[in-house]
Amino acid sequence: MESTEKAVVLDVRHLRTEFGPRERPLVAVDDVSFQVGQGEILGLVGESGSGKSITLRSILGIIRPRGHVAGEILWNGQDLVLLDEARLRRIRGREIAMIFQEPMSSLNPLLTVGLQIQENLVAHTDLDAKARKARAIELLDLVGIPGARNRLDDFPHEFSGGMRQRVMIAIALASNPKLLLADEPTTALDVTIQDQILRLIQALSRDLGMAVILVTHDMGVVAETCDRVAVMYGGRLCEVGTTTDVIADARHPYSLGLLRSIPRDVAPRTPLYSIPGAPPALNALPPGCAFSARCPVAGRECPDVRPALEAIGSSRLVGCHHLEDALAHFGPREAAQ
Amino acid sequence: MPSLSYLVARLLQIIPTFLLVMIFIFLLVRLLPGDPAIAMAEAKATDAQLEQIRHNLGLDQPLPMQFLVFVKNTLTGDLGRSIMLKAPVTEVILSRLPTTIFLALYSVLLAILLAGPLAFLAASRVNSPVDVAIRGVFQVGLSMPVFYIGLLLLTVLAAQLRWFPVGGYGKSFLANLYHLILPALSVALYTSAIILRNLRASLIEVLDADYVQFARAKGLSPRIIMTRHVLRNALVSTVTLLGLSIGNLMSGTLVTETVFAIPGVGRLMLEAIFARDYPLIQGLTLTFAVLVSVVFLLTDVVQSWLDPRLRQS
Amino acid sequence: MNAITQSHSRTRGRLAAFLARAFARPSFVIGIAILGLSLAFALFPQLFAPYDPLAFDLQAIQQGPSLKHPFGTDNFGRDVLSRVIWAYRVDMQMAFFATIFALLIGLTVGAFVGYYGGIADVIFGRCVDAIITFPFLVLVIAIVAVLGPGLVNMYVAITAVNWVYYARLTRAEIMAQKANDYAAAGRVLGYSDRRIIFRHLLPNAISPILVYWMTDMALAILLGSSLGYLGLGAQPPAAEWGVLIAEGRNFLMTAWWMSLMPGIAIVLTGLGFSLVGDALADLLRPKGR
Repeated sequence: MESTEKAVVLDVRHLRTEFGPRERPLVAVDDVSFQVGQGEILGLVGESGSGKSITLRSILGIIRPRGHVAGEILWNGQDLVLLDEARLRRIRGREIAMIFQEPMSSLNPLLTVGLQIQENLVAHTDLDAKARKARAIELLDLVGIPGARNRLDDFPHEFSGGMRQRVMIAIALASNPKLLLADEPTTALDVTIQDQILRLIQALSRDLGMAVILVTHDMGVVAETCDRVAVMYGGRLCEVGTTTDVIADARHPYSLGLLRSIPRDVAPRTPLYSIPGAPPALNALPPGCAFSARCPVAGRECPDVRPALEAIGSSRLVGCHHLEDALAHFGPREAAQ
Repeated sequence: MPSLSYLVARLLQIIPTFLLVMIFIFLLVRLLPGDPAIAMAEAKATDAQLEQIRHNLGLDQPLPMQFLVFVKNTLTGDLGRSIMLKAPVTEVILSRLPTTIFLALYSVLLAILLAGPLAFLAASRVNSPVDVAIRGVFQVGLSMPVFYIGLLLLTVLAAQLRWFPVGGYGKSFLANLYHLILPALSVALYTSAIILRNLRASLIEVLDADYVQFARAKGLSPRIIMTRHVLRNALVSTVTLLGLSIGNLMSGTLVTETVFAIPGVGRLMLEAIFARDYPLIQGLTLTFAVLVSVVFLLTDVVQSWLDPRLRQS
Repeated sequence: MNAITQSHSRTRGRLAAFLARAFARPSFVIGIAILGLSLAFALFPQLFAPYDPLAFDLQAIQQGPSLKHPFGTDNFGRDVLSRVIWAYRVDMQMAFFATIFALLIGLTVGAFVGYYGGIADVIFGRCVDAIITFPFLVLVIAIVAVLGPGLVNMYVAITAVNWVYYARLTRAEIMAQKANDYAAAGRVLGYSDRRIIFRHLLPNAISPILVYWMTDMALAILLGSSLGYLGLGAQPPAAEWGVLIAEGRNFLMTAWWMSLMPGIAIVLTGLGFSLVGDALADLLRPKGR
C-alpha cells in the first residue's frame, strides 16, 4: 500500500526487535512494515505491550534494555539499522525527533528549560549562544508558551503538565526535524489539554511539512488527528489504512473490537464493550495469529497459521483468515457511521 | 543558588536542636556519680581548690542557673580548662582540630575516588560477574571495623612492604598526604562501601529514567548525557548520603587516629576519657556536634543548589 | 472485621511460603549457615575449641599458623583459634544485648509517637535531631566515660543512643500503617488504642524493623569490638575479638596473626548478619517496580 500523493520519507520493512538470549528471544516487534509520507500523520494504535513504543524506539536505535533490531529502516536512502551509534546520533534529534509519554519525568528536573532546548541546538546546529537563545524563545513561542522570553530560566517543575509537554515538543522541534515520533504524547494529560496538544502537533505538521508517527492506544485520538493508521497487536500489524477507511469500515476483528469499545450514539447506562481477555505476554504468543486467543471469530487454524497482510481496495492491508465472519459478528453498526 | 531566606530558615532550625545538645552535654557531667568537682579536679587537690572549682563551675547555684552559665560560657568560647593538659579546652581543641578535618576530607576524597568509578562500572553492567564481584568485595568491606582495616593496612603495606609510614603526622601539605594515606584509606574503605551501594542503586535508576532516554533521543553525545543528565542526578542522593554519613566518618577518624597515633581531636577524646578529663570530654563532645551540624547544613545548601525543587520550601 | 482477621490469619501460611523463597537464595543460605555456626560456637565453645583458651604453653610462644595451631599462638603460648572461638560467646552476646533493648524501647516509643502524633511527636523529632547531631561512637564513648568501661555499661551507652534509630523507623512504619483501612476498622469497632497499636498496627509494621535489627546486630559487633579494641568495652582477660586484636597490637611486626586472625571472625559474623538482613530486605520489599 503506497501513500500515493506524498513522497515517502520513512520506509520500514520487516522490522523485528528482540530481547534476551538469541536462542530463546522475546520478540517485541515482529515483521512490521509501513511507510510515512512527507507531512503525513500516521497513527500507530494498540494496547500496552503491543510493541508500538518499541517500534518507535527501534527506529531511533534507543531501545532499552539493549535488544536486537533486524529488518530495514530506510531513511533518505540510508538503512538506519546498519548505522553505527555516531552516525545515528547525527540523525536523532536532528532529522528525526521524539517526544515521550510522561511530561513529568521526561524533562531533566535539575536543568532549566532554556538549557534543555539549547543543548539540542548545540548538538545539531552552528548557531552561536545569542542566536541559540533567540531560537529557544522562538520555539517556546511556537508551541504556545505564554511569555516565552521570561521562561528560559525556569525549571520543569515550574510548568504544568500540559506546558511541559509543549516544552518537550519545542525541544523536539529545535532543529527542524522532518519526522516526529510521538510516544503517547497526550496519555498523561487532562482531556482538554490533550486536545490542545493534538491540535498543536497537527498544526506543526501542516505548517512545517513534518511527518509524524503518533503512538496511542486511543482510537479517538487517531480519528481526530491522523491521516493514516496502523493497528498493532502482539508485536504485529493487523490492519493498515487511511483513517477514514479504518474508522468507518474496519475489517480486522481487533480493530473492530477497539472501535466498538468507544461509546458512540449509545443510550445512557449501556455497558461499554470491552475486548474479552488480556493482551498476551510476549513469551506466550501463538505461532499463528497473535489475536486468535481473544478473537470472537477465530477458527481452528488461526493459532497455527499466520495470516498475511492482504490488500483490500487500493489503500488498505488486513491480516485475517475470517474477514467475512468478523464483519458479520460485529454487525453493520460501524459501517453505518 | 539557594535564597538567603532559605539559609536563614535553615539556620534558625538549628537553634532548638542545639539547645537540646547543650542540655545533654551539661547533664552528662552532672550525672557523674559523686561530686563533679572531685571528678574534675586533680587527685591531690586541696579543699580550697575544690571549693574554687565548685565556684567556677557554679555548682553552688541551682541547676537552671548553672545551665545558663554553661551556655553563656560556651557561647563566649570558654569551655573551661583541661585537667590533663593544664590549658584552656578551646585552645587545645583548636590546635588539634585541623588534623582531624584534614583526615576526614582526605578520607572522603579517597572514598569517592574509590566508589565512584566502581559504582559506575557495576551499574552499567547490572548483575554481570563484574557487578557481583564489586558488590561482594564491598559487602565484605562493610563487615570490617575501621580499626581492623587500619591494622591490616599497617601490617601489610607499612610493616611488611614498607611502602608507607607506620604513623605520625607530616609538616607540609604533601607530607601530610603521604603520612595520612593509610589512616585515611582505613576510613575511606568503609565509607566507600556505603557510597558504592547507594550510588550504584541511584545510577541504575537514573540510567533508566525518562529524561535520560529523552536525552538520547535528542542525539546528544554520550559524554554530555553522562555528565549533565546522569551524573548530576545521581549525585543528589549521594550528596545526601555523604552528609548523613558524617557521623560515621567522625567515628571512623576517632578510631583511625587511635590506631595510627595521629594527634587529632579523636585521639584526644580517648585520652581525655582515660584521664577522666571531664571539661575536655565535654568540650570535645560539643565540638563533634558542631562539626556534624555544619556538615548537615552544608549538605542542605549543596542539595538545594543541585536540585531546584528543594529551593522553594 | 474482615480486614482485621485477614491481617492475622494470612500470616502463618505466608511465613511458610516466605521461608521457602528465602531458602531459595544462596546469599540467605550462606548467611544463615554462618550465623548458625556462630551460635553453636557461642553456646558450646568447648566442643569446637581445640585447646583451653586460657592455658599458657611457654614452650609455644608466638608460633605462626600451623596445622597444630591454625591461627598461631599468642605471647603466652595460648592457642589463638581457641581464644577466637571462646570469644564468640562474648561477641554474639554483644550483638544481642547491645540491640535488643534499643529495639524494644524504640518499638514502644516509635509506636506511641507515630500513633498519637501531636506534641509528643514534635518533642520526639527534636530529640532525634539532637541525638543524630553527635557521631554515634562519640556519644557512646562519652557515656561510657561517665559510667566507666565494661560490657554492661557499654550496653547501656549503646542502648541510650541506638533506640532513637529504631523509634524513628517504627514511627514512620506505624504512620504508614495507620492510614490503612483495617486501622480505621479497629477504631470503628471501639478497640482500645493499645490493642490497635500492639495487636494490629505493629505486627504489620514490624518486618522492616526486624530487617534493620539484623543489620544492626552486625553493626553492634563492629561497634562492640571497636570499643573492646579501644579499651572501653569488654575488659581483658575476657576473650573478645576487639580485645584480642588489641592484645596483638604490639606484636604486629613479630606475630601479626595475634591481631589479624580474630578479625576474620568479626568479618565473617558481620557478613552473616548482613547477608541475612539484605536477603530479608529484598524479599520483604513491596513489589512496585
